[in-house]
Amino acid sequence: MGPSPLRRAEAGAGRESIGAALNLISIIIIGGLHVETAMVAAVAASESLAMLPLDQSAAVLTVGGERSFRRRLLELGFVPGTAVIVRNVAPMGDPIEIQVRGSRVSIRRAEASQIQVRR
Amino acid sequence: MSEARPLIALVGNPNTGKTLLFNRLTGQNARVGNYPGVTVERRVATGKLPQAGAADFLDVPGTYSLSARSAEEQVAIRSLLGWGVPPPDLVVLVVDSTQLTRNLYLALQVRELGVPCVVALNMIDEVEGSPPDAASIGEALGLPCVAVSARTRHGLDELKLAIQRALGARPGPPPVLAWPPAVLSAIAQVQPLVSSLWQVEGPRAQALALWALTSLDEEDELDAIPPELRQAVLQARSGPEDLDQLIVGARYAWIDAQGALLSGVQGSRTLTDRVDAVLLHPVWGFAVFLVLMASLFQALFSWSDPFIGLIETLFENVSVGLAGLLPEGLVSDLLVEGVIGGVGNVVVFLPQILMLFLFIGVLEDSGYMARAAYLMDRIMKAVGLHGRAFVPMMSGFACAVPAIMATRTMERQRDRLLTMMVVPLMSCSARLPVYTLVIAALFPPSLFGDGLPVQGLMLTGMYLFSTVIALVAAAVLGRTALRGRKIPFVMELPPIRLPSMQSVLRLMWSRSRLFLVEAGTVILACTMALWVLLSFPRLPPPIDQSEAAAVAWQAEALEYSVAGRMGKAIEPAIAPLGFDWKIGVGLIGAFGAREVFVSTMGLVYGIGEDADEESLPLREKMRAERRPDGSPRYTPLVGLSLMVFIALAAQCMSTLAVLKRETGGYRWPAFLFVYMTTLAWVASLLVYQGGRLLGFQ
Repeated sequence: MGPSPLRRAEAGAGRESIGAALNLISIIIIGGLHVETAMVAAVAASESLAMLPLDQSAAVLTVGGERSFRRRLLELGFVPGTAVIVRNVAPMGDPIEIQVRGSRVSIRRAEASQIQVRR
Repeated sequence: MSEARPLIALVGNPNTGKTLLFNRLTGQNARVGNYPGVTVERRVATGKLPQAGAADFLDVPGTYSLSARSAEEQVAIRSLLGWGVPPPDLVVLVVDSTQLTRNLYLALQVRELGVPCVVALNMIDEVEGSPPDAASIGEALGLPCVAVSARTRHGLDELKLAIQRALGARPGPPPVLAWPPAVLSAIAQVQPLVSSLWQVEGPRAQALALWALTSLDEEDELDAIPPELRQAVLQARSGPEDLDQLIVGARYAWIDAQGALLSGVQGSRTLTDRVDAVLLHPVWGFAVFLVLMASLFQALFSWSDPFIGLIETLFENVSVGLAGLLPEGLVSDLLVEGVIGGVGNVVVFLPQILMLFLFIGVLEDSGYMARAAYLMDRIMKAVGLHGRAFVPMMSGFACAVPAIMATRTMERQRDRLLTMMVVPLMSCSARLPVYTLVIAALFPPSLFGDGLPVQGLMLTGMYLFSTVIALVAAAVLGRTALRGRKIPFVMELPPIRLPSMQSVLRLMWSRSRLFLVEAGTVILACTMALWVLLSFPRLPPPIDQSEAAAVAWQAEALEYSVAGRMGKAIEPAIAPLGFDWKIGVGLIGAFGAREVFVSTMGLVYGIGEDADEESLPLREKMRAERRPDGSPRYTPLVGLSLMVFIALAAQCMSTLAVLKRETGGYRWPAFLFVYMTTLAWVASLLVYQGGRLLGFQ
């Protein structure tokens, strides 16, 4: 007994649906890639304060980290939108001195890396 | 009566010259105490106002903000509102004119609270370009505002007048800030509770609601916060908005809106930047650092040595003179050995304390200390210590007592505690006589001809050993007993300035007085207690009057005393380390001060109490001493074990006394004593038993 027309149709539909699924997957993947590249672009625009070159001005985007830590940095003037400049790096690379709102504070790299900035 | 005098609190950011201003406004009579419940220093001194007469000034520890997480940070708001301390009648807000924007953040918080306040625009002489307009800043804040320079004394009279006028005057309503809707609704949720709990109204209730919103959460460590308030804050903070950022942002938005007042105001950094090019240079910076630290080291060891000798001679002469005047017996012994000896034990620390604080005062005041910390932070951070811990750690090589007092240059309690817990491990100068005695008595000068200078290497090794152990202990304690919350490490490199001699002298004086009064009494009491242990119960005096008999009697009397019995009682505990009861007595005597170990050993071995580490008879006796089986009691292995024990054990009551003073209780001294003694016992056990397993005697 050969396959019934119905079955063949089913198989065809199956093949079609596989194709559709593949299409969908590829769309998702490509779309995902698009989203990812978009994110990569966003990351490229923002960088951590710890990575900012000397004497280069940048604006604070976000301040991360645990609450009391974050609040203290905000209170020192690291409010989003504020201009910051790395003024000095200690001889062994840590800590770094940052100019913020007309005053200078030294913080460790680990802490500076919680602050995202955009040039 | 202090009630009659108004209390004026000086509040400001760190490095605003607040303490110098405090010194300028007051006389030489600072009263130093602790805030109840925390080990934060509370300094009050009396000064004169032009007409109102005397007033008390309070130097509140420098802070960037009133919001708090720990009981230590809470001191700022407690001082302002009088929580558990007398409330101030007026606040002088000390502001660094060269860093107005950030300083205005704290000013705004103080302003919101509605306490009577005068703003002192300090460091006005350091502003480059057009100075800030005091009148308009005062107008914007709604507070009287005076431009001053504590350094040049400019404007001090006007400040006093402004203080006098503002006393008793109620400030107007605070500036209106544009709080975002989310903040307003959070305030609305918390403010009624704040009003009823703390009996406050209007703007102050709103300010306290904001303080609670930015300070409280599930795990804050604040004092005396009603649980229902914490609940209300958690409720109000549960929304999606970032309240901390919105609140801080709104304050900075107000400050930014005053831009015209602040624009062009800037500190002159040209000189500082030029000096920093050297001080922070990878090569020159470290060279300067090394030279300064070497001179500090020299000062602690050599320059203070003649003064220490002078004090010791003085007390010796007084003792001898007194002993000659008094009839021989108990009273004479108590006075001479207990009291005079005890006072001598206290005063003998003064040269090093004065020397260390002279250095610290100059380094701190000139702005160099912050740079030293900036240079060293990378290294100190590796073991969890603050960059500022370097100077106390290094001073520990001379003596732990001034070194522990030097930890005050650190702001955070946890950094201070961690440093205080490891400084006593550094090999202090009192351990040197013990090392010298043991090494000279038990180790050959050199091996393989002159190829291996054993004695020199042993001594260097002991110093290296103690340093390594101190650093390891810091790393371990920092991860266990003193695991700190993540508080951001914030340092400032203040402008380089000429130090103020008045400030330096005041620091030296206040630290010395604090030591004499507070730690000194404990040291005196311990010396007398130790004298009792070493002298009672007493043996009848020798019948034979010859010197040999007297010395033999001393040894017998010591064996008969409580300390002698204690030495025997602890023998089972110290036998596994290779020690006998005689060493045990020496270790008990060493608790007074480690170098006493040597003279106590002299007593035990019947050489007399004048034995010192150079004493040849004592070395001979130690070499000749036999165990019951006839083998030598003191082998190089026993010597090593003994040196390790002396290096690690917390055998110094003066250290424990000063620790009690600095931490405000017995908890940390007890912890230090237990952990160091345990460490010493285990390390000596490992050395001795390990050495025996390897076939050494």
